[in-house]
Amino acid sequence: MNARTVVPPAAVIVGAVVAWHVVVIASGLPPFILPSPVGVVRSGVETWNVLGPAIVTTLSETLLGLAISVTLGVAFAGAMDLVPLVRRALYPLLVASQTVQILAIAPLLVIWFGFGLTPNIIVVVLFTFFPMTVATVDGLTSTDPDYIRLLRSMGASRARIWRTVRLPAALPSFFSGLRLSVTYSVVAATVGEWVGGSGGLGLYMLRSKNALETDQVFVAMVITTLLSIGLFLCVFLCERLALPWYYTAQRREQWDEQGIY
Amino acid sequence: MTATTTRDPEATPRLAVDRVSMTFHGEAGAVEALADVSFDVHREEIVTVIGPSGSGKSTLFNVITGLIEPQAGAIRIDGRELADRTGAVAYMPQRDLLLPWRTVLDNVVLPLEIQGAGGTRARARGRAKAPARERAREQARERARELMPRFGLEGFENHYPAVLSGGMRQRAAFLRTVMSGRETLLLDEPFGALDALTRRRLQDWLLELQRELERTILFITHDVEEAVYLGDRVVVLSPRPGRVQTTMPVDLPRPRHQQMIGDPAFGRHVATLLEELGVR
Repeated sequence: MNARTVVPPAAVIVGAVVAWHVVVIASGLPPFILPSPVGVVRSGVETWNVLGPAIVTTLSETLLGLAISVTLGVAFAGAMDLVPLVRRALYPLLVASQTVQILAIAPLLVIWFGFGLTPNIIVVVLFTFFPMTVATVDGLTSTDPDYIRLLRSMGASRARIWRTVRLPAALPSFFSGLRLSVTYSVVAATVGEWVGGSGGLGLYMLRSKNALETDQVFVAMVITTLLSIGLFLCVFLCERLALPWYYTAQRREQWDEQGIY
Repeated sequence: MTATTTRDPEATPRLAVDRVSMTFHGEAGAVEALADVSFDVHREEIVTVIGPSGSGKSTLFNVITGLIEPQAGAIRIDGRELADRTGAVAYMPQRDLLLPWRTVLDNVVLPLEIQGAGGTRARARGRAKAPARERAREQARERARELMPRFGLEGFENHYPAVLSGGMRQRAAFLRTVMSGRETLLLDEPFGALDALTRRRLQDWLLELQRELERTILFITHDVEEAVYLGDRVVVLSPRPGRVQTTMPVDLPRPRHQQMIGDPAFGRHVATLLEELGVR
């Protein structure tokens, strides 16, 4: 990351915030329709005693849900890769799981599991399990068969080939899935909280909306976005550290020459 | 005739392909890839295999490496027919197939890693001798480091393959093949994807190395000149189903050098091969 990648988006954000502020002042809209950025920051600070614990709740649900999704996703992908029957049996169900009406199921989860973290964690899993599994399965099946032939010709066992070729080859795809999942996850947690009315930023947002405290709705939106971006950056950093070969300077230079960057 | 090798004809060949036949049964019906193919490769010999596309050259290599079992016939390595011969000869595919997530050094020691970890002997030794395995691993890396300059890879040990040129990648792949420690090397059109100049340079480099390393080489190519230039003998395969149409000894002195390509003797060899391949 350098000035070339940071400055342009930062400039756009600053410009947008300034434009927002100017519009609010020039139009004279009442704060419950469109609060100014300054008003949003102020109400964030004023409600911090509620907001702080809400952030902790939402972040806990998000991280736990993600952890479960990653574990399950990798386990399912591995099973589907190793046993074709499992793949045939589970793949359609997986797609079906993604089409489940989460807005309908979230209140039911509250009925089944009570007003705790559990129903919201499940909502996060429902949102993120699918991209995690599909990306990992795709990664595992993307291995160039010529590598497998080469290793077999060296006398490598199946387990050895898995460890030496298939798993590393699947990692870029796994991380793509993780990046997708992470961006969904915070929103998923707040959706669960909103629908179930069970706490966290979702509940904060719901109450603020009902009280016409529009500035607080904006506070929650901004914080949700920041959390998502933060998590995304964490994954991005992990990926850079785990896959140095995937991001060699050379590759980047080639892309520059091609005008891709 | 110039004797290029002084071998004992009675000696056990390094590699014997004995009446090998292979038919594939696919959706399009049965395809006979190899029909009764037999030839020997002797110690420290370079045998080149040439044939039109579809003559079963790749199938032949898959059979020799043990990736597939032929319907009939046998492969003998140093006179022995092994139940599982994968890993018994070193195979270098046309594409370098360097693992992009491994550095050059980690790539070239891969065959030894697999031999150490997957071999029955290593498994019998068990975990108790883990330090011995660690030492063997370090020795392998040391040996690879020593060979790096000879393979033109000095200074690139810890680079990823992505930064190497095509010629360097091919040399790294060849070093990986040599590092296996196997006596017989199967090279499947290793220079096929390279530009003409790099290719000629690598041919000479391969011949030089061959004299130092004293390995036995079976070399597939679709280039008639390459087949003559590198080989002690050229095995010509017929169109599908692949049979040994003829085996032509190459009566050119060693060491070979690129100027020989202008010699009438070289031209005669090429002409004979072209005629065998049906090109006039």
